[in-house]
Amino acid sequence: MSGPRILAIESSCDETGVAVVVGGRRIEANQVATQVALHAATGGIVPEIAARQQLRWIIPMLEAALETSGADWGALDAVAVTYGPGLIGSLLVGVNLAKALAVVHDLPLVGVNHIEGHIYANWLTDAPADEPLPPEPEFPLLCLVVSGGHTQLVLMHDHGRYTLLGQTVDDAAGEAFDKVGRLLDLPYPGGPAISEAAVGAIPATRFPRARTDGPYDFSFSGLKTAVGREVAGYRERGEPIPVDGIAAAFEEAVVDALASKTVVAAREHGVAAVALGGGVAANRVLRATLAERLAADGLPLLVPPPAWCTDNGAMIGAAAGFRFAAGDRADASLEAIPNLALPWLEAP
Amino acid sequence: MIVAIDAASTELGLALAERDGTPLAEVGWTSAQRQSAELLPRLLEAVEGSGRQLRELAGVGVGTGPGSFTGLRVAMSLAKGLAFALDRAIVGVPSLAAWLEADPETEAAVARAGAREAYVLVRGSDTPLLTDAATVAHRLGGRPVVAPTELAVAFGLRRATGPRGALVIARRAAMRLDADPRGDDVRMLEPMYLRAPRGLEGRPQGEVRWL
Ligand SMILES: [Zn+2]
Repeated sequence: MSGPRILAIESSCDETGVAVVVGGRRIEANQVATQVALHAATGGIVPEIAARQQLRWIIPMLEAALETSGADWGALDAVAVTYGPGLIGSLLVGVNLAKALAVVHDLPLVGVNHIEGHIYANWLTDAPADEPLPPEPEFPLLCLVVSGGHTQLVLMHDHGRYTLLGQTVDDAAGEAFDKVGRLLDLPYPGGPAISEAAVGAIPATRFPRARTDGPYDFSFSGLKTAVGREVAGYRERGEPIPVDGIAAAFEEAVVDALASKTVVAAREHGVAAVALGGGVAANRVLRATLAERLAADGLPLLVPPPAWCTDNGAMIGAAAGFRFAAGDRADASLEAIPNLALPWLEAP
Repeated sequence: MIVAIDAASTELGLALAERDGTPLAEVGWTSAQRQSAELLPRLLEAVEGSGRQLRELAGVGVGTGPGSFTGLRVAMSLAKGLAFALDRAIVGVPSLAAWLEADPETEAAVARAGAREAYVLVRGSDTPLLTDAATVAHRLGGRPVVAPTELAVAFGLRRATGPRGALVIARRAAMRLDADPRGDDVRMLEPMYLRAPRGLEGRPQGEVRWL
């Protein structure tokens, strides 16, 4: 075995994840209960529903993760948990459960930032223990974290050393997908539904790309408004709404904004590679567009498999592996911090 | 040893009891915001102060409310964690019933349900009711009741005493475990919510957040 075996808990939003990860890289178990079906009924995440479900799923996921890994308490070296950012009611469940587990078994407790978890999903592997580990991502690494809650462009200089290059000034990219999905009467979650509608469709229009003050900031609320106006126009004229074409035009606009800023940032900072994280990283057009534009500069694009991009415990275990090695420890007074930020370095 | 946690209101309570329900320790304090930071450290202090160890735990009792969603979530997550980690039984005990049992002179127990409503359990009844502030003040304003101080002040309950339910929760858990050593299902146990989650119907856009 190489490195600590960490039990990792993620409950920041509507996924309940428990994983066992060795050395911050090797997944021994990664159990996730998702509430997508529940939230489909309301068209989005309702915090109180999410929190109640966390309390219902956390023990079954914990049991399943321990059983899958085959590890008993004595075989664990630490307990890790997401303590922010996220929904307070959801975070509280994982944080307090993790604290109880750690004090009972006298295990070190490691608090993990959820965004850092998304980044460290790029360190994960499910290669069996007798196979060598794949190489680690190299620094400096440019990370684009895109999900329903976050859109951040992060320059990672080394383990635990980050500069925030830019972020969304309004909606997160995944949030824009969900809202536009509703405008187009597509099912929740909007991301997969819009992508599916857009496959093979010719964009019905060209939506404007938002201008932002920061060169690497993003803005998606104007785009959502533009989609709304477009849809309203068809309605007023009594014409059928070309859902597929509008979906394609919207997806193209989001992907273009994300990809072009990421490519410029990668050039400016001379990075070794670009890594994706977060649920929107599962978007095929985003992956393909970024990979193609980066290839022109000879830069590799790292994308974890979809199951490690959406919220899960393994990514928390990966980040915790590094935090544990660096000596980070939390105690029984660890609190959930809904707006927790990474410890940013000054802009380079 | 039985550990009991009551966090249904801003007045938090912890108790330790012998396996037969004999009281060992009780701690109570007020915290509006910091339940998550304070409950476990205080619990560890109480265990240590009684010369005990967590490993001696025989079961966990936890107040199921109704009351503060945050407090109940913290208490329930801690209780589940303790019970699961040590493979011991967990028992949910209705908080307001425990408050009434601890304070025999009172006629009702009142816990906050948002800004302008309260959960009220009238002595002799089994079911707490969701009641608006005006009705609470009108019906219970001059009566002896159990209610957290902040709520008594806000809702005009002039003869309120603060909740002290933790030892009752410990005792009830001990009794329950005598009768049924398995207790409740640690997977499924959840707070008594009484209210559907805000947002299930007529959900205003502004309340929804995606993360
Ligand atoms: Zn996330």
